[in-house]
Amino acid sequence: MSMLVQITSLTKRYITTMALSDITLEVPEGHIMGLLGPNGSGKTTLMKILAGLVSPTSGSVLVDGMVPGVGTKAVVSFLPDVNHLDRWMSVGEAGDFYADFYVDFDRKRFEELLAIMRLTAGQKIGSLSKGMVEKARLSLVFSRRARLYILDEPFGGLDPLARAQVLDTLVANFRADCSMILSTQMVADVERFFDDVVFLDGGRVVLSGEAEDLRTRRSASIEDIYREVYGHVEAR
Amino acid sequence: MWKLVRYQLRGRRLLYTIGLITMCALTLYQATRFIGMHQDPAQSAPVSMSVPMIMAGFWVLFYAVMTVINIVTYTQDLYGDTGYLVFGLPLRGAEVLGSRIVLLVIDTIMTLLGGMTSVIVLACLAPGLAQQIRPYVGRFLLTGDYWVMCLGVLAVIVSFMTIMFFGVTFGKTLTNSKKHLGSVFSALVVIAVLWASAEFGFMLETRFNGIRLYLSPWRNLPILAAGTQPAIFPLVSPLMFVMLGVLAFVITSWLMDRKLNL
Repeated sequence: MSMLVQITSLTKRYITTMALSDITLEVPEGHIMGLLGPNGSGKTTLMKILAGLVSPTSGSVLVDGMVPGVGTKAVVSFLPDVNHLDRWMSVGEAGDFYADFYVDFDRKRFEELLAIMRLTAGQKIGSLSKGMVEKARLSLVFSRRARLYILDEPFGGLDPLARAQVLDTLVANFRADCSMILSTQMVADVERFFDDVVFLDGGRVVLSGEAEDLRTRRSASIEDIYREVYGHVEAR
Repeated sequence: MWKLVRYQLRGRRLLYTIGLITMCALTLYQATRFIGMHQDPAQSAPVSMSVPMIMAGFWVLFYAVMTVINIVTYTQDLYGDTGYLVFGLPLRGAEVLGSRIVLLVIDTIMTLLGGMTSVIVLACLAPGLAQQIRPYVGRFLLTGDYWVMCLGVLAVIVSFMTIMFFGVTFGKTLTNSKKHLGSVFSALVVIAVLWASAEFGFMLETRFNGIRLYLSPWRNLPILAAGTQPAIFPLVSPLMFVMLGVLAFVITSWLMDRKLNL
């Protein structure tokens, strides 16, 4: 099984903070990996490093065999945890923007996803509700035929119905030749999709493995394991 | 890079529209003042020439505002959420920075064209001015010294802005804070670089005192009283500043590619 992501002894230090410490993990092709942990555990920093938006302090990171940079940005579809779209853009203009810069952007798929999400191309990003913006952003990210999808808290502004709709879309569009890294606090909703799980705390990996294997060994769901690892503070 | 320029221009369309409408209104207002002056025989030609001068002042202000907006939007990209969109693109740092420089040049050209258009509009609406200016327009536009001066000023402005971009980017390589720490570093870096370049430039000018540039940009526009005398421009320190700008471009591109912490 080929590894799409290979991280070895990764460390990220800011001036006063150690964000990540000695992280080593791999993501095989065709797998969905859940990246779990409380706020400030280093999930977002790790995702940004994989997306080529943050430079590591030390260690080795390979995405599809390349060091994060211009090459990997062309094959990684990243959804940050905040609205990264300009407010002046319409949904259609955001699609045009992605089509201009990403060769793997599938415009037909984008239109299909907009229809599923009940969005229209003419709607301005600035006039959409938080949930609608989230749907537009997810439509853009999944309209790319990327090798690696990195989703940071993708269900933040979505109601339960919309969340189910997005999850269905997510699974329907997932291909065997790509991988996905998904960070969320809504563990119960998505844990059935995880092939692998990594638990981070204080910038370190505290537990990792195949999701099914962890469930069997601990006779518990991933959410229960989450509660066990972190206590009841972050779990819902 | 050109796609990014196009996208950024699209984002500024409302701003450009508001700016140009404002400048158009100011031009028309100045034209009505000018016509009023010409109907008053007590007004002399130099007094009426103050109207296009005021207009030029408005255009310089317009340019200054656009330049500030350029650096502010770049800072917002680095420190705000839209940075994930721009810096997540499969583009090299030099292309992202290059797009900003191209925008600056577009702003400059637009300001120059706008200023010229203002003069033409004033000339059309106020026949007295047309008579004064018309004989010189063609020859003035073919004055090589004028264009050398414009290119020199543009090179210095671009260098200054590149140093500003460097400062903002440098601050963002030290921390991922969206708050004040990076901004403080950015400001300190810009102040330090500009102070060092001013000191070094002064030293160079003292050392190479005889090397000066003599230009007569206004020699074909005799209605400007001082136009016939050649103006003396420093040469060594602006050249040093432009080289510093090139260095800032190279380092900023490298920082964007290797050291950014969004």
